[in-house]
Amino acid sequence: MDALSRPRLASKARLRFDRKSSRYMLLYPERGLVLNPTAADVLQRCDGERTVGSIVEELARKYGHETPAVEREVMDFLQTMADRGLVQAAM
Amino acid sequence: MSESVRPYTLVAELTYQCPLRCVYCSNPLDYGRHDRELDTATWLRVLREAEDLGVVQLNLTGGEPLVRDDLEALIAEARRLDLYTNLITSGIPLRRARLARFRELGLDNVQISVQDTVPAASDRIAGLRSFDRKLEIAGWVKELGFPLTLNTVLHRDNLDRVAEVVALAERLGADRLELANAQYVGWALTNRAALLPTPEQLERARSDFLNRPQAAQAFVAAGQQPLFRADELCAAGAEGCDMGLSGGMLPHFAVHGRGDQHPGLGVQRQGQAA
Repeated sequence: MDALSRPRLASKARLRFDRKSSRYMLLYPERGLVLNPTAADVLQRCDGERTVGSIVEELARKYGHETPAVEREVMDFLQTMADRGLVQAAM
Repeated sequence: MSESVRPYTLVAELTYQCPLRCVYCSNPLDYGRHDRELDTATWLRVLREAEDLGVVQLNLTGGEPLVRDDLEALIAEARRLDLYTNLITSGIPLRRARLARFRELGLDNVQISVQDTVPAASDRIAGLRSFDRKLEIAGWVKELGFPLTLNTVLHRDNLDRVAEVVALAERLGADRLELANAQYVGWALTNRAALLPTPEQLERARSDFLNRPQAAQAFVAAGQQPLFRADELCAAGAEGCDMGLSGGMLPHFAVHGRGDQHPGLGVQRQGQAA
């Protein structure tokens, strides 16, 4: 995963808003993750079109944080999701 | 309902009919007496009520769920309710056109059981010549764009072939492999003398698996770790409910690939071979 990767959700994973917890969930076979708002912000942008770099720029603007700090966090998070087979990096 | 007792998963045992006769079947021992199944309208109501309770995952299972002719209606309603729906099947009664229809209706995932990697051994456990057919159907699942889960129940006769099971899953392009220890309730308890592995077998299988590269382990359902910055949806005990033919609901202790944590109570378990 690097700044030019175009991440997308694995085919088995689906994002869903949960009205009970007011959070997004990432659901996949027999399991799921309750996402905090920033994790949901990242995964909603994993559409196979945007690059990691552009996702970072959008979120840095949205939250008013410095780009390098956001980049580190987004990269770490996406790598963790990729290691679990929930996000794939299309180049 | 407080978040701590919220059910996330509904395991819908639609029927106990099945073309297979696996010796560790999760059907009740007296399943022959359960000849009255819930009708379509009742299941549709159950899906709506489950979603209202907080359920987000639906496993359509049995027996063999494909023997029901109302799966289309159930899948469509589950999709309308935005449930993540997984069809847990032997695959045997499936026609390709029906599977394509399921895809259009919004079915999310298909799980196919394979009893062993050696065709004759797989067929022997299943009580039916079925291995080649299962591989063909797994191919359809991928061709139609579904994610594929492969499930193998582990016991004495196949535990030495975990590496081959993983290789088969990779060859079929499975998105997930569920290695499920036989659950020693019901039929498996009755047949435990023939099924229980030796301690040496267990240790060999465990170290074989752990010696695989991490990338190759990623799609296996055993041994997943909690995720940084996100809560595991189903980490606690009372996260699911299991609804059988009688309409009774049971707490669902042993879901989500945690095959080693079954407390040995008389609860049904998903993820065993259909």
